[in-house]
Amino acid sequence: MIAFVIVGLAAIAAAIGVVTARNVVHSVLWLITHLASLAVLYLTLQATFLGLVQVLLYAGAVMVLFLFVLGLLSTRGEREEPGTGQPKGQTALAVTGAMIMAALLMVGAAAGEAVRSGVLPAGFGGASAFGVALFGRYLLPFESTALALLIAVVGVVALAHSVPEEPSASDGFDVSHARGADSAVLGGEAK
Amino acid sequence: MTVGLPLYLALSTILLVIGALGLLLRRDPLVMVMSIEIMWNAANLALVATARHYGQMGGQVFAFLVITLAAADVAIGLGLIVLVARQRGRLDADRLNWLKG
Amino acid sequence: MGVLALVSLVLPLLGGFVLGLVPGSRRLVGWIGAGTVALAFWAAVGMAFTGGMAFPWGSGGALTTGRDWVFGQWAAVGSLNIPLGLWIDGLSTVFALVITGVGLLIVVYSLSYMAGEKERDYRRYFAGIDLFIGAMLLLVLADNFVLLLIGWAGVGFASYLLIGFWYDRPLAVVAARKAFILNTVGDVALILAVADIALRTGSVRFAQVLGAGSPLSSGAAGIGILLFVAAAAKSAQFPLQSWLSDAMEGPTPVSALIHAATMVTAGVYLIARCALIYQASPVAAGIAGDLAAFTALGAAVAAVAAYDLKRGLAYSTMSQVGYMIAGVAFGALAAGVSHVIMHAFFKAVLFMSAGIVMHATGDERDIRRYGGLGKHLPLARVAFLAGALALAGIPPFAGFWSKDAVMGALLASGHIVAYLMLAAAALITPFYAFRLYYLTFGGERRSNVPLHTTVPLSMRWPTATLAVLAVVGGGFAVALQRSWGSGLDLGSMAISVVLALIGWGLAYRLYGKGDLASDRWLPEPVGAILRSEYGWETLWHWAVVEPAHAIGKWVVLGWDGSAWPAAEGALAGLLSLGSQGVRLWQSGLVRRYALTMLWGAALLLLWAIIRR
Repeated sequence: MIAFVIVGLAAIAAAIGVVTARNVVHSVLWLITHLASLAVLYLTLQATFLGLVQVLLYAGAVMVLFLFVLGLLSTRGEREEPGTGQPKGQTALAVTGAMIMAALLMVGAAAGEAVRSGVLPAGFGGASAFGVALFGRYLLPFESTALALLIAVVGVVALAHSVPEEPSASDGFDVSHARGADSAVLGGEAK
Repeated sequence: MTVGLPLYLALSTILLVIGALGLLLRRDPLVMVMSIEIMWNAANLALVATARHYGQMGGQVFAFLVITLAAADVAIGLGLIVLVARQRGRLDADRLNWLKG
Repeated sequence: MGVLALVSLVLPLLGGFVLGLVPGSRRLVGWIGAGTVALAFWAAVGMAFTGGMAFPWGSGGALTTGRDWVFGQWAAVGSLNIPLGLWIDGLSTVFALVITGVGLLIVVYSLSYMAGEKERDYRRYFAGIDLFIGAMLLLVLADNFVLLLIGWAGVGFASYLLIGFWYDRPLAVVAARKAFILNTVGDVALILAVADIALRTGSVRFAQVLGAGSPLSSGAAGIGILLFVAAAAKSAQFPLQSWLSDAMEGPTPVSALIHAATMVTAGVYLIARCALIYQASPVAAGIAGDLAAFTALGAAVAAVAAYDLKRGLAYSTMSQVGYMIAGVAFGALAAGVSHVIMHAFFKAVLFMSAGIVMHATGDERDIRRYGGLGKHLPLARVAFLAGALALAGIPPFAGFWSKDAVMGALLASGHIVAYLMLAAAALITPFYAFRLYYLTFGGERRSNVPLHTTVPLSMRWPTATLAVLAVVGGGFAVALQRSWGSGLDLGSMAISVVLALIGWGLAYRLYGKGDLASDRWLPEPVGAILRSEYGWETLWHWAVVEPAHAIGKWVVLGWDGSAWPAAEGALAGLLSLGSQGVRLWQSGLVRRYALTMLWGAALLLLWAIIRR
């Protein structure tokens, strides 16, 4: 209980940190904190293998990717300061929608059974039980995910190849040129 | 005392809403991607908590698959961001409105 | 016994595929084509001698003595189990013997008859014949309705190939297409019937569907009527008869084998096999039997005016198949099945004689240009005479014993309407048979095209063999009827003999001199109507072809031409208007899209909660 409260509050705080931080680097650091606290939560839920994966894959690999991109971008131009203007009504609509969502989800959460049923099977959440489930009963979702990953890889490769390196990309990029190129791709459909 | 399913789901809801607000209210694409990550993780928490509650591995397996897909999502999202940054120099979601009808 | 049946079934199919795929010399093609059929015939004889001749039906028409020889599993769909198996009883053995026996004689006959074809076409011909015999054997030997259906469609396909054998003759191509389309009507009816059977009984196997204690024994008129539609299409019965007379565009041995001796009897087989259904449902039996008797009479009348020798024989085939179906539908099973055998003998010999005549006259089919051929073609004359006597039902020739048995059984069981129609047909049958005989072989020659009177050996002895069978083959019919336990009815026999003799006498009086002018007794308009099959073709044309054409025209010109473009324009305008509205949503702002998604998700969630 105590662990849950502490780690849960940490996760919430870190999430708020990610969203509100002015500096993107801070955001990334908050996100790492958030992901790590979630890994701890997984451990309290007997999902040992998943907690490990969360740390390795998320807090490790994915965050490295974030920081790498950040390093790549920080030399190029400046980023727009956040919060300087929103589309009309965006804030109000977003907050209202999110609150409605939260209320509805809370209704669902409250409907859940409070008492856990039964005793867990031996080795629940361990790598071996996880593997049996993943490659046994859930083989089809696993294979589908593999396919989705393949598509993602193809997509990334295509993105990396489709536009040649633009030497003067820093500031004076000709927007009309880009639009023209897009139109050409679309076969002159754009007006 | 042990913590029941409703509390975990409530925590998951809070995280999801925070992520959603971040996605909707921030204009920096990098932060938006990170907000999406928070939402993914909120969903994962619900999955893992439910798995624990019913003693079934299915929830964990799907949480694992979600992590995998989130990684793919990050790869593509960041790839797009890099590409846009190369072309436009500035990163502002509201300026990326070439798809306007 | 099962192995023999399987051998008999597989060999012709194998021969058909080998001939279809592998080139070879004429000699080799002939050996394969005839050899596989000969072996199949001996296998069928083996089947008969190892106890496959027992009377198949018990009380109520249920199949009782058949042996179900299952050699494999084909498909299992849910609780429906479709085995690969053969059903061996008296009925299937009789049909297998007729198919392979008459088939063998006709294949041998074809060796010379088709010798004028190019080597490639020669091979194609025998591939088609072997394929046909294999498919026909599958039809009669299958132990369930699905395998039967494959054989059923297979014979339709082989028949299509062989009617359209001369694919450079437009008439043959049209005739092949017509036969195939009308046969398809029957195929669809059979598929529906089988589906209905499977739904009602949960099985398609004869042992369960048609055996004793079958769920169908309490009447299934719908299935019976569908099965009759299928049989009518395959056996050229009214109202699906019109393909058979056109099918005469195929080579004459094909007409003899497929469109006289075997394929058209598939409908008889089907109805005899499903005797249970027809005995349980008097309605279905009445429809099938009365329509068949009607066909028997109508086709016999149409044959009276025919000028085309093969068409005349085709009408005769429809008529005789009508006898068979009327018999088996009304429960005269032994009589109907024995008529199948007798008809195979005498109709095959009639066609073979016609083939010899056509061979001699350079493919002439019009009897107005025959006349006086008896002097030059004595074998054809004698064989045709034997066939005509058997067809006419003059004792002791073959047709008498079975045709009379059918009529006697109908009279005894009180189907008076059908009996009267069949009796009228029995009066007309000898008349048209001998009209054709006298006008072809008697009198003076009415054309000066030179004759080729040498008949090759391999055409001579099958014709002679069948002629002998047409004379004495009645013994088989009597033996079969005796062993299957149906007696002879002397009263009905006397009536039939009198009718046959009157018909023959009339024909002799009118045409005995072989003079074409004798045809004047028939007013020309009536003759023209009969030659056009009562204008049935025209009726179909106006009832089916023209409406279909009009619909097609309307679709092309009215719909595609003007209505559709207008609709397209309206649709495009509507879409354009709609897209103007939707454009407002497309702000291009990613965060707006995300907001929409959020609201959408919230609404879905709300819906889920409310529903719960």
